[in-house]
Amino acid sequence: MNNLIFLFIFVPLLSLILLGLNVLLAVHRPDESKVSAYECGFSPIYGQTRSTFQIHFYIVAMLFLIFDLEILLLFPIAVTLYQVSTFGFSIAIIFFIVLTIGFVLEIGSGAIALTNFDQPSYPINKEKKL
Amino acid sequence: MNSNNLMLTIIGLLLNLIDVLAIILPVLLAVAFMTIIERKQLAAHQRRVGPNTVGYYGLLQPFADALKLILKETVIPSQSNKVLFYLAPISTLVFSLLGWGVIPFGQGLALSDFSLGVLYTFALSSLGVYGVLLAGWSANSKYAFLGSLRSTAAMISYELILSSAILIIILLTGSLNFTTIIESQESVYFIFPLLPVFIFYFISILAETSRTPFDLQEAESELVAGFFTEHSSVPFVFFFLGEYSSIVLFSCLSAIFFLGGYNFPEVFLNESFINLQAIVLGLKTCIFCFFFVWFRATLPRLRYDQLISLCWLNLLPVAVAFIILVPSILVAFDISPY
Amino acid sequence: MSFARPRVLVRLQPRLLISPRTTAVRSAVLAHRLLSSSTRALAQHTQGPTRSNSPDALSSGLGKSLHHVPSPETVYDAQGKEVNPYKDGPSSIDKAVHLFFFTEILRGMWIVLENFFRPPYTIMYPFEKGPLSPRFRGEHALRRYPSGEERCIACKLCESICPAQAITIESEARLDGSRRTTKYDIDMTKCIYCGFCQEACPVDAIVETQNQEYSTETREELLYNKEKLLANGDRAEAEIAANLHSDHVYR
Repeated sequence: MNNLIFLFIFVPLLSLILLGLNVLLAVHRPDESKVSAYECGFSPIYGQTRSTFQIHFYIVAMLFLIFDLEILLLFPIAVTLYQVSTFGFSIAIIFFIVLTIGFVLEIGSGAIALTNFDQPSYPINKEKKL
Repeated sequence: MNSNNLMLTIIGLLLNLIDVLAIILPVLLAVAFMTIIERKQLAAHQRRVGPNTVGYYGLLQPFADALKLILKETVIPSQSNKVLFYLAPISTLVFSLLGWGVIPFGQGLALSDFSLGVLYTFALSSLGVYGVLLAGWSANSKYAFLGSLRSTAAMISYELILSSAILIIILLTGSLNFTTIIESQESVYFIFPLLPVFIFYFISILAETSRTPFDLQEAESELVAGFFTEHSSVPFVFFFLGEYSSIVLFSCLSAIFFLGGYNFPEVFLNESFINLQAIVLGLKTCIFCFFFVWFRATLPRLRYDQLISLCWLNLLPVAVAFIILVPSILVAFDISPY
Repeated sequence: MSFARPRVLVRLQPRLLISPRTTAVRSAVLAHRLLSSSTRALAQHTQGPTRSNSPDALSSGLGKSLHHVPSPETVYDAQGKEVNPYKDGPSSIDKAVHLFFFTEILRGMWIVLENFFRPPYTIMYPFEKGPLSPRFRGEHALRRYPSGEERCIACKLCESICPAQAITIESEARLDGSRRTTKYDIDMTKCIYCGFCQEACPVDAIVETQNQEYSTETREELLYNKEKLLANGDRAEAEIAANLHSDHVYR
């Protein structure tokens, strides 16, 4: 068997063994306040923990998807730069220009501006969005 | 089944087991000692002593901690999604430990020295995000949820920088194989020609492992403990081990990418039976581990929007500029590797 | 520094087609603003609505010398005169160098590294102890005269001054006619160690000793009665007397 495949089997097994040790050795006495969700000093409100969140997190994830794909698409040229040489590299430059246009558009549309720039953020004690 | 074949299979499996144990056990020990090193070093930076009671010089502290955590009660929040709640820490630990499968500790001393080692490492470090995401979602707690959101967004943003930095390394080596990367640094370590790349690479691995100054996920003052707020006992150990394992792993990768891995000019090249290459790699890894803690002792935490805009507005353009600059030089002087 | 960022991005938005190089420079400037907050700029900002930064200061300086048109970015002093806010600050080249070579971060890191090699300040507490002031206010004690007569005359000044109402005293006349306490209780769980009782005491009977290691395993053990307090006093009399003596010049 390949060593790597063995590793893929062994490491999850190892973690399961540790979990099993915990189940065997540790006490397990849950009570009402133990199993309730953590809250600073007051009782958690049931059903409201899945709160809404800023769209920016989602947008950042989408942008990551695009850019990471684009960088991963460059790996073949990184490996074969000697073979493709100037011609291949010029194609890569075109690719980069497209990427840069996308990037500039992205900045320009304010997709990753987590601060609200419409309202001035000063004076400093004024309430500010994340 | 032929008994002879059975014997051979069993022996093969045993050899596999020995191989894997020879990697995993030292890694787990290294991770354990990384925790004590961090505490001792932080203490030294702050003119304290740090843990010094358990064992000589406090060396047994991580084992005492681990034992204590294993004996602790696992509390599963009643509102949580139980399967995902367990799956998240397990996946964090598994993915960060699997990364060690392709690290060469010496010439030919890797579990698997296959040709796409770098891609494999990338894939695993990307999968590491799932543990964070699942933990925050499954715990059904506000703090865990917000912590995981922040952590996820930061990790995936900085992964871009990380992959761009490594892309530049690949440009210089022309191979995705770790051994080739190390061998191509025989004449000069990449940290010298690629110092700016190293700087943004190191910033991105700080963010990838959620270390200070990018430890927004566990900003204790606002988010309790971040995405593993609800995890206790062994699930918490898994997150802890996973985090420190990825610190050591990324230090090791930095050593391989920028400091020439197990290469060391002549001093450690000898004909003796003891393989000193692994020790060289270990020492180089220690340098970067030291850097991790040093940064933690020095730098304050960034604000979240600063974190994201530092990545997208500053580091990414610089990274892209270097991705164009480096191959331009290689093509212009016709010195690209083959 | 938060005020500087909106401007940069606002300027980025209308001109979308900028070369990567300018982007890099702008992002570098942005990074500088992100990574370092200039107290000088903040201070200016509090003066009024006018804000400025280095490129604008440069251009406003040019504008002033050429055709004296005050740009909206200029800064005025209290007399209404135009001033160059960057007159005696670092030049923009200095700032750029500081930015690109991480000098501020490196300086901080160097300080931290210096301290790494210095010995720790730690006192290994249970084994070695730091110095205590003679005025240190720790566990309470009731003192006696050298004759063995207890000092407390049950005047109840300590009881009345105690802000936490931790002290309870009951008294009656003794057989020889002198007034003595029959009960002198201190609830150490209530005590806030303010030292008012020892200040109030006319005969230096109740004092706080330097003993701070009297933790107990039960709460009841912390409800001190007269015997316990007298025993404390007997045990630490020499120390208490020395401390009172060393402190008497300041009273």
